[in-house]
Amino acid sequence: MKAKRLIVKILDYTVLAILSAVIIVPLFWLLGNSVKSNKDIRVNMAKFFPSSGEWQFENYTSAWKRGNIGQSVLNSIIITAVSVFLIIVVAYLAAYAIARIRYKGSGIVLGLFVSLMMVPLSQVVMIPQYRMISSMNLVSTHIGVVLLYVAAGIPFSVFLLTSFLRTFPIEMDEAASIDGCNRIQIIIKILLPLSRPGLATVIIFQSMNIWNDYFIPLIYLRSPAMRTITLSLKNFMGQWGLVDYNTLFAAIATVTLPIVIIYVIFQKQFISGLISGSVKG
Amino acid sequence: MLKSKKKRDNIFGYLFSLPALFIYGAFTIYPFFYGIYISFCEWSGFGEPTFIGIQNYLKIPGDSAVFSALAHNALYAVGTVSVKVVFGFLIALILNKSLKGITAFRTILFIPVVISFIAIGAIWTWILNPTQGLLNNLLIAIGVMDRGNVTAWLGDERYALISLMIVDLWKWMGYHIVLFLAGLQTISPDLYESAEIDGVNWYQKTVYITIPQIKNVFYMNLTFCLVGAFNVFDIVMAMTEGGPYGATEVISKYIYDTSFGATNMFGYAMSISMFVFVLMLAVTLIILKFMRKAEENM
Repeated sequence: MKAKRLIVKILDYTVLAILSAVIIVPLFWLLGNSVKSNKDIRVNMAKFFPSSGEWQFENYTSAWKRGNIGQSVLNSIIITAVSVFLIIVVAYLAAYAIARIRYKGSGIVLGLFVSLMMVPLSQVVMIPQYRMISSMNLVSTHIGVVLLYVAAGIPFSVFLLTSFLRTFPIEMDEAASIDGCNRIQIIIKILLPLSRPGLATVIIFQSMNIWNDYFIPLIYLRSPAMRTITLSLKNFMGQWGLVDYNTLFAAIATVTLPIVIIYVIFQKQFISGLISGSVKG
Repeated sequence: MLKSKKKRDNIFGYLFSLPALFIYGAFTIYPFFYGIYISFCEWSGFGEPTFIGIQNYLKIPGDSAVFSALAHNALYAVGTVSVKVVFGFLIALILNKSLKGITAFRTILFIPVVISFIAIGAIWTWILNPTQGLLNNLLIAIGVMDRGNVTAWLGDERYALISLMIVDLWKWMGYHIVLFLAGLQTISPDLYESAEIDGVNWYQKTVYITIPQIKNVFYMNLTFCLVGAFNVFDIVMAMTEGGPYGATEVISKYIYDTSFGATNMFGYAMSISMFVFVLMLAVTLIILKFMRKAEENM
């Protein structure tokens, strides 16, 4: 019995170790290639480290400059930050109204958002959205893209924040209101600080989606100065990637590493965001 | 007094919900209905769409590109869904045990979920490179492949689609594992304790207790995988752009090419979108119905 248990344990660890290696090895390989010289990489791409021990970190600065990667990182940061900020403001207000004011019809509003989360709408609204954005003269602007991200992020964020705000006793608001707090004060002084975990989940989940998105920028942000990071990386692959392999690897790493590091730090929020995005009610 | 407070509350409620309802209504619900209209129009992307009745829809059955693309999606679905659901569940069972270092493994397996598909596509394009790539060099090193006769994974029609499926699994496996894991953690340990007293083995425990308890999680994973397989786009753009010889041409890529990408037939593209949307909706509803039924039987 004891021996059997040990064998199972060894098998479990073996499976997990192999799977982890399958994930980790490509990422290490990416890092190794991102610091090789161009001569080295042409011969020794399959190796994990620069052969002569010459680590060429300049690849990162040239990747940053070439193909507008630096500008694109900035564009992605702006678009992501503004969209997520607006999603939070708009969704938090709605969630507060649904969970704390509980006005007539709030159940229907929540039901609408939750049921629409289930429907794969994003593909089917692409073309009509384009028609709308172009008639507003917002194609090739960050504003147009931000509007679409905010609209797409609302249902999930309202749902998550509402269920979060429902966990606090409603008497809390009543007591504060008797003490002379108005609605805005109740939100800012009492509810917002308590909502931090819920807000963190929404922020991280939405940031990840927007940061990684490729389709919307592909349609709306064609000019090099406007491009986001996914678009520039794709462009980089076709342009410089065919010649300067090492710079390409540095560019890929520039896009990949920050998000992986942020994930490792905030993994609880990442995972809870993705789970709650699916386990709807 | 009380009545007027209730009234004021309602007004505040509407006021606070309005921005969310307005933005979502204007940029998702309205476009959906407007999209139905466009699917009955001829539209080049500029100016006004012209109404042409059901002509776009009549064109679909005769367009073999639609069905060969959908066939690729279906293959993609069969391959990825089966592996994601079966192995996602089995790996979650391991991760649900109280082994030392289990959180580190969970952290690692989830990493690809957060990386953009474009970056993953870029990495894997080089891993799969026939002469310089990591995979073939590994296969040569262990003696499975001959250096003079390497496989061009993405350049060969026979292997291109399956290569994309493997990269898809690399990215999404961790997500499905975590979904299963979340489900497993809702099962009460009491259930297993009484079963252990009765002396049931691992297989019986899994089939008669675990799986019925998280049936819904199975259906959910199934839905996500299926819808995902029919929406696949980024990875195709990053790795093959539909090639070689159309071997990885999928429906969302075809819709893109028909509209923004090349031919500017937005009305026709819209009708294909609607066709795929209804198809997906039907599949989702069927799965949902099974889910309800499973709930009733419990």
